[in-house]
Amino acid sequence: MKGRPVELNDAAVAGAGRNIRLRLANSKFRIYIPVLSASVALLILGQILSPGFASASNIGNLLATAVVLAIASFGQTLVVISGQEGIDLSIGAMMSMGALIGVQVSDQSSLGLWGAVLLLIGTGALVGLIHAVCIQFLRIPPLVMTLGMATVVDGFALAYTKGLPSGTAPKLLTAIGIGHVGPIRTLLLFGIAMVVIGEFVLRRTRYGRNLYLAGSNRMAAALSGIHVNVVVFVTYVIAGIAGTLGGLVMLGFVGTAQLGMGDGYTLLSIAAVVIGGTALAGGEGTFLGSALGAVVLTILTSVLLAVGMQEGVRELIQGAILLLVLAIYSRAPKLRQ
Amino acid sequence: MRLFECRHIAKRYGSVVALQDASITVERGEIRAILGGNGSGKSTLSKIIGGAVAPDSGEMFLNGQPYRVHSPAQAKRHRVVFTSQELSLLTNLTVEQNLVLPQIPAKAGVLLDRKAMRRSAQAVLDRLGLADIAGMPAASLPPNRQFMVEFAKALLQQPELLIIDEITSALYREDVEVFKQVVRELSAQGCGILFISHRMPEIFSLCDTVTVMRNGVVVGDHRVDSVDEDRLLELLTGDRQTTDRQAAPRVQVHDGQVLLSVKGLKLPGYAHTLDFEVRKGEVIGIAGLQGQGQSQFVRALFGMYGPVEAVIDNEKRVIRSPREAVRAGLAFLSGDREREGVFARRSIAENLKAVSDGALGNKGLPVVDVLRQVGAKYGKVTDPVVSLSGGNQQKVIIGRWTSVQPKLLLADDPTKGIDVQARHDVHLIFRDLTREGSAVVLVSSDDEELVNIARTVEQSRIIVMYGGRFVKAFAGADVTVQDIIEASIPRREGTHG
Repeated sequence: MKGRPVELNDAAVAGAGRNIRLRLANSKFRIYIPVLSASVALLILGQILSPGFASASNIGNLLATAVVLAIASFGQTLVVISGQEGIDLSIGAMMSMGALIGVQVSDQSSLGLWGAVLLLIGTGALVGLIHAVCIQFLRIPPLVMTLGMATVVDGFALAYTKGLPSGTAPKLLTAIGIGHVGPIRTLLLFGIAMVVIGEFVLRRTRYGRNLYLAGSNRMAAALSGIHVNVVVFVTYVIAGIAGTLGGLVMLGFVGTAQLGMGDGYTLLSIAAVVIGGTALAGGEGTFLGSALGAVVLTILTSVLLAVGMQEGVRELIQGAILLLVLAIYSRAPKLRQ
Repeated sequence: MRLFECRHIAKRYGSVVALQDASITVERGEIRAILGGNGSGKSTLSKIIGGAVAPDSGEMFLNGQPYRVHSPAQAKRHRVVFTSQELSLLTNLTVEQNLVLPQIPAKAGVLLDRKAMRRSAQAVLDRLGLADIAGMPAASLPPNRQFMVEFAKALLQQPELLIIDEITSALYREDVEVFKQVVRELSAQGCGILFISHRMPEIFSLCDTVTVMRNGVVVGDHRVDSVDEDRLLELLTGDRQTTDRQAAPRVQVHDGQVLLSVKGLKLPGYAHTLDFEVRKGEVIGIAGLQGQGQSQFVRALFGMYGPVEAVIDNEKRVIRSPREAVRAGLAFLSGDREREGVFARRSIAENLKAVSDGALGNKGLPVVDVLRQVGAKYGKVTDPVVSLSGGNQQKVIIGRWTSVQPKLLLADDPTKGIDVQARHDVHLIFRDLTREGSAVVLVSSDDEELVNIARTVEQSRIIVMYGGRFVKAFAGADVTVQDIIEASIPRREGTHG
């Protein structure tokens, strides 16, 4: 068993450079190799189909777009790691609501942007809390719970804006969304900071380590004396807050808010998480993986756009590819015993 | 013609021999008891006859014809019916629906005579005195009534050979009488009955013949009127001098300080309560036939079934959950590694630190030291825990607890399914724990294991459970497997009060 990673890579490795490549293959990062190579391959394909696709400025745009998806995948990653069929189908609705309330409150009330931020943290936490209570104590499956909640959240946003969202994104948000720091997109830096902080939480805090354990085996975690309820509550509350605040970032990126603007992110975030190596069964996964998954998916969408494909056909192909990817990645590897 | 016969049946599960050589016969109208302790092979044999398990070798004959079945459904077509304590009722349906459903053939005709089915179901319920519960959902019945419905279901199949696996241990006295009456009627109609039981009273009052099994072998075949209880126990335990062992060895009074004591501990599924005390440095083995409340006992102590009031180290504490038990210095080791022990997707180090870091938020002993202490063989601590063998996985889980130096380790059949060497290592770890002043309460379905452990530690007791009660306690130093088996099986004169 110990020798397995080496055996697996033996086939791919031949002749010279074997040692270096083996070391790379055996390092922690080897699980990201498929995602990274897929990104590069798609970039090359895009460049061939539409020259200029792999230019620095376009790559900057692609990465910035990917960051919005990575943000959507942030809460999703935690929820999926937490196991017990954990999944968050409310993320799209939460982001839409974040953008809608954000623009309304910051533009048309005396609370301003920071008032909107506080309000959205409160709303996100409340939704997360309701999720956790219903899932953990009333034993409602996460799939059903979060899907139902998505409708409630959509309805709330619709009622709040009376169907007519108005106003433009505050300057600070557009600065994050489309601004640059030197030659680099601010949003990219934002995304990198998010991944670093997220990885720190997962690896260096007790919450993060217990999340992996509870996700891997809830019963064993409880019998080890781990406060499983607390882990689940914290997870859904973070996911809720990440959803509404993610909506604000999306608002800054797009510039205006529309009803249902975040809807597409629900399935895309699950795909990004799964491509990034998080097991749908829970107990395994990283933010870095999800972010890289977001990059691949974004480039893929972009390539389809670059070919000048008609919208309907593009969505069809994109959907089919998503299903295929999910089918390939979500087959759980067989464990010993 | 003889109704049923099996010759030289053998069955292995991996390296474990469940049945070595079993031959029995059943005549028409015969009520035959099969008597045996844990691991004697009686359940395996009954499952083989009932079609649920395929034998490795041996022959079976029904009505003189070779009898080969691959499923309980197929056995039913031969009118060989198996009924057990493991309930097969659909709990969301009513009693009547439960009885009618299995009669509907797989290839249903267009017109089913539902009225006739219902009539026959009603007749069986009347016969068992269950008429009043026909319309109730099965889930709302207490376990003893559910067993009776299970039995009714078996009767409706009009068996020619009926195998009853330990059904009476859950029944009330009135039900037992009805049950016996019905079994006798079946026998009068020519049905053969195999009655798997460890209850002497029923064997002597109901059965014609008795087959005694030990370690997967048939060791005795007698007419009930030609043997007595002592002789049966002798066969059961393989011990020649069992005849007069009324004077049980007195339990030594240890001078170790009391570590934990509970009064009025309630086990789920039992009405009475238990009092229990364990001393520092002591190992207590909990023995008994399977399913007599042993597992529930250690789990209740660990707070898994709700609040427990205990005095630990002279301090009154209420343990409401496993988490609080861990904080009070208790540890729990399950034999069901996959469900209750191992974090399969995580590394060895993470598995080891689940309690110290995860639950208590302290460092615990260094990972490498703990792994050396428990003698686990591994590559790197960052390897996934599932890369280890079962025995080494279990050692990692034990290390999880020893790294926080628990006061009391509760273990529920912890060496189930691990190899002999690892098993021995686990015993030594337990011994070392007691030398450091901790105590171990160990449930095991393997009597030999309990005796071995009891002999290797300075202070030990073995407590035998039956029907959720402590029925006997032995001092560890001079207990034998025979003592345990004898105490596990209730006798006719109500020795156990």
